[in-house]
Amino acid sequence: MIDIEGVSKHYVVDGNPIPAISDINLRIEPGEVFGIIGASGAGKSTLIRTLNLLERPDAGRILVDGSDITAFSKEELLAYRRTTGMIFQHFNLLGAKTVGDNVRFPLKLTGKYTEAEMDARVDELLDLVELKDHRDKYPAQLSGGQKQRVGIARALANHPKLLLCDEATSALDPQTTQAILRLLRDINQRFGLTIVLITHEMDVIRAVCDRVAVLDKGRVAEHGLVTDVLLHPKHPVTRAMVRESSHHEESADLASTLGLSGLLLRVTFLGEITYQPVLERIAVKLGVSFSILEGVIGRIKDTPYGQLTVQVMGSAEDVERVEAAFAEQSIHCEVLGS
Amino acid sequence: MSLFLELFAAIDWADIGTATVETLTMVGGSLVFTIIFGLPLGIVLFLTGPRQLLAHKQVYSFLSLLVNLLRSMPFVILLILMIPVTVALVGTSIGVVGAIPPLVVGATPFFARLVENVLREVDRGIIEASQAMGATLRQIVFGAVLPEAFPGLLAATTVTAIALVSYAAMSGVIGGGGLGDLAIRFGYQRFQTEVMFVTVAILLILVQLLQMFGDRLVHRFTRS
Ligand SMILES: Nc1ncnc2c1ncn2[C@@H]1O[C@H](COP(=O)(O)OP(=O)(O)OP(=O)(O)O)[C@@H](O)[C@H]1O
Ligand SMILES: [Mg+2]
Repeated sequence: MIDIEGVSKHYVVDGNPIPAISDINLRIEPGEVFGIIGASGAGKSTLIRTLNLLERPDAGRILVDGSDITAFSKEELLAYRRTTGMIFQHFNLLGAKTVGDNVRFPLKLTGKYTEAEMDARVDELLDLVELKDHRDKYPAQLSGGQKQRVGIARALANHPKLLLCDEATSALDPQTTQAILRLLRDINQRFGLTIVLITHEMDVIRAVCDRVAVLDKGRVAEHGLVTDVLLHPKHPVTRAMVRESSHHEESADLASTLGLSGLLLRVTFLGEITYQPVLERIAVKLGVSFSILEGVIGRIKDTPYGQLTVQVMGSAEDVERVEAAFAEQSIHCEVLGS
Repeated sequence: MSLFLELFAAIDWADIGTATVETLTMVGGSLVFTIIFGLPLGIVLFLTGPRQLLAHKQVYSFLSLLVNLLRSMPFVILLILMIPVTVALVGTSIGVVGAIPPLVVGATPFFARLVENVLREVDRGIIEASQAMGATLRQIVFGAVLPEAFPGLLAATTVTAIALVSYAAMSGVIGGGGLGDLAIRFGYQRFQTEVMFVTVAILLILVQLLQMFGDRLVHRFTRS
């Protein structure tokens, strides 16, 4: 769907060039939800805004379905933008227009529809985002979550193939955030639409994304499947973010604090096996016992996962046998602090 | 009480009525032309301004200078300087018709600057969202920016109309007709202070009404 090839962009501040993103290379597959996460100032907004040329890159190409959008003519760019939806942190609705007219606005821009067709489409979209009763209200009369729903309906009006979300939930409370994320997932599945979203919250990535890129100081620190990146972060920045979001100390630190080096294992379950009594079975089979020191069990999008730090109550040989037993079941297991 | 009546008995109310109608005509007529010229000028100022959609340093600086030049000129001077131009345009430099060109030239830069400021207040995010939706420049301006700025534009129009009331009175100095003319001819040159008093009272009422009407309209179109 999208190939980002060597994209860079800098700003000039007080006469000095400040790089915002540098040599970004990413591929976004059709139909996936691709997350971009990073700290404030990492260049997330700059990157997502190059995808519809709200920011024009200084270098590199952006291929969408094979055509380089940076080489588009004015007309081609307008046409491309009309079929690329975007939603914003602060919604950016037209305050002087009703909810219905906000959703109608992108339809009107194309000049392709009759009034009746636009009416029907507006109804359909407001139905989708569950705002049918609010059609004649003005944005100022809506809650944040409702405003974002209008933003989503507006972004979907011209049947986009790509939806860009710039911190779409950052101005919302946790419950509303969950509702909006559910809506985005639903849209992604129903219409097979590709979604690129940026966020600084790991929970957002966990809830909706298939793949993620971690941005640090304008560069991609690492990228891959969310399950891989979140459960086995490699880059220090990713590790810090994962730790932050799970409210855990680094397990390696735990091993040295407790003086248990070599006896601590971090076991990662992925998929249905998460819900099976794996530890219990191994304990019985090998005659060892475990003490769970910390852990999480949850879901990454639809995939169940668990990550436990366990102390093996036994000798070094016991640890080896336990490791082998996990390996036999293809469960990822790592000895800490050794 | 009788003294009071006596004082006002000398006033020719028909004259005052005529003068009021003349003033209203001058204000109304010049307001229409001020909007016709000032609104596009304000839009161009806005669009060519720094970091705006059509940012263009030279064009913006030139227009800005022109606007400042006209705004810094005392209106009385403008009235006098404009006489040949006015005659060429409308055939006379006196009366209601003769007053309108200088009023328009005086008020247009003022109104354009107000328009520019009002448009700048429109949330940048709204312009970006429109761009992201594939709106052309024309669609952004007419479909998003101007409707968003409508209450502000009404307020700017009110301020301009009120400024025109006082400019119109001043144009009485060169025989522009209307209440200002009356005040000068009777109140100043013939020492009929009561005429001056009535004139000022009518002007005050006019300004009050304009302000009230303008505020109502602004309120009516504000969606927040
Ligand atoms: N219009 C601009 N002019 C100058 N510098 C800018 C501009 N926009 C962004 N920058 C700079 O570029 C860098 C990346 O900014 P960007 O907005 O992409 O970060 P971000 O990851 O979206 O951050 P945040 O989470 O705070 O929104 C920052 O150093 C920022 O200061
Ligand atoms: Mg940002």
